[in-house]
Amino acid sequence: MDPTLSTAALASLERMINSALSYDPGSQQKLRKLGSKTLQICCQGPTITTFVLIDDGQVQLRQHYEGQIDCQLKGSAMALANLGLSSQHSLANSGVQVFGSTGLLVDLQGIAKDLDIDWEEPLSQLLGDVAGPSLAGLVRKGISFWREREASVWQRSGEALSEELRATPHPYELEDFNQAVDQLRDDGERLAAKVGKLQHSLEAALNAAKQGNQPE
Amino acid sequence: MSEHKQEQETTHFGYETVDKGEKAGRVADVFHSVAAKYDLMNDLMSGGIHRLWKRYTIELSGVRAGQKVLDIAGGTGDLTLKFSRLVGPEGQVVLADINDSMLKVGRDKLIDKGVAGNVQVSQADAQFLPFADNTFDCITIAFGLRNVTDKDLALRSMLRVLKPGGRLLVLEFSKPGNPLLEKAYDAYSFAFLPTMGRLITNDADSYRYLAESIRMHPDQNTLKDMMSDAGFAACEYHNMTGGIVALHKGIKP
Ligand SMILES: C[S@@+](CC[C@H](N)C(=O)[O-])C[C@H]1O[C@@H](n2cnc3c(N)ncnc32)[C@H](O)[C@@H]1O
Repeated sequence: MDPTLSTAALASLERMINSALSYDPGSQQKLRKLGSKTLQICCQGPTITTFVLIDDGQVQLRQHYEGQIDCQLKGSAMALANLGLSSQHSLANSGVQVFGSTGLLVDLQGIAKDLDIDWEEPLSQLLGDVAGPSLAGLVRKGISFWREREASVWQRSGEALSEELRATPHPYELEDFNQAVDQLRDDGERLAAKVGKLQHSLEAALNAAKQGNQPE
Repeated sequence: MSEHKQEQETTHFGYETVDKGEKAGRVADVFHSVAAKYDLMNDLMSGGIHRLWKRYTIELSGVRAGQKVLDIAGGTGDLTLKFSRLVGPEGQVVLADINDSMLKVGRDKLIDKGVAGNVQVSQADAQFLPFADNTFDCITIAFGLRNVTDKDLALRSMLRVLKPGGRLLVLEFSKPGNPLLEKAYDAYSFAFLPTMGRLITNDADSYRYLAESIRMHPDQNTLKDMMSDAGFAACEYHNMTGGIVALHKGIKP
């Protein structure tokens, strides 16, 4: 990928995060308490490495970093987005491997969740640049899936409290989500195939019509 | 023999061939003339993309707190500004340029942004750097090398003042890999840039020089070889924006 594109995507994401932090002194304070820390996110398929540098309550996003790393995450784009953007803290069944300080990860997840940021646009832009629109679309759908899901969790008011008090999700929930994503992907592929077929028959029909119109 | 001599003593000023002694003066005129509006033009010409190219350069520099950095041909100090934050109070950044008009704009900008203490401003020629051997952990030259009369001399001079293990980063216009992009870029730089230069700085010639000097600059692999020949190790480059710009990196062994 052209580094100009990834640099642009990371720069805009970074600006969004820091501006959201400036409007949320509580979260910024929590971040500042973490001191100087670095998280490395290795996305495999598509391959993108991002370093999240935290210092003095500010976030920097980079593609290259040569200093010490406190925590490293490895997983597919879907699995990582799932882990980072849902309110779930559990790594079990998430498909993400973690090396180093999981404490840092949990803290960051907590802060990220509170921040008022629309992650969808910059993330799908970043992924779209690397992997093309299909994966970006998938992530986009994944994100809105979580949004709706979380909204509905809140609506079930009786359960809402206990849901929130739990530190780890029920494994079924993650399974559930993974299945939903698989389903979505299959549906998407089927849809694409149908569209292809339709296009094909449309073209055939047009050709036939053209030939029929041609004077003998 | 005399013909050979003549060949050695002329060089390119954009598309013109000029005496070697003359090029530096002509380049100086260009930058004296554009200094005041340089930052504005940079943003307009590149649609702000030069900021991304520079940001990536900073990432690849690996510069850390406490290090010493030379930003040669640093002009109005974009890279210096970022480095001064990275090296912190224990480190040092030298903003150097041959042209005092550019340095003056740079110095004012740094003061304006509240940078002080760890930045030193120095008027210097990249070919004859006035620093002791093995001084810097990192040297950057951004959009500067193509203006230098003797690039080999400059590369060797930079190698000398780098510490062993230190790295040189050359950010420079280069050759787009895609012929279509090259065409579009040519049209942009030869028609659009001088016109914009005339509108904003009242100086089309300077921006025509810019376009021509970009064209005459060595392509990716030539520059990489030049760096190896000068003594740099592990030379590599990263194309950006389809190769319109390339970032070359070399390490002093
Ligand atoms: C296009 S500007 C780049 C400024 C800055 N690095 C940037 O990226 O915005 C080129 C600079 O190279 C400087 N320059 C030209 N020849 C030089 C030389 N031999 N030694 C040092 N600087 C030189 C010019 O004065 C000018 O400021």
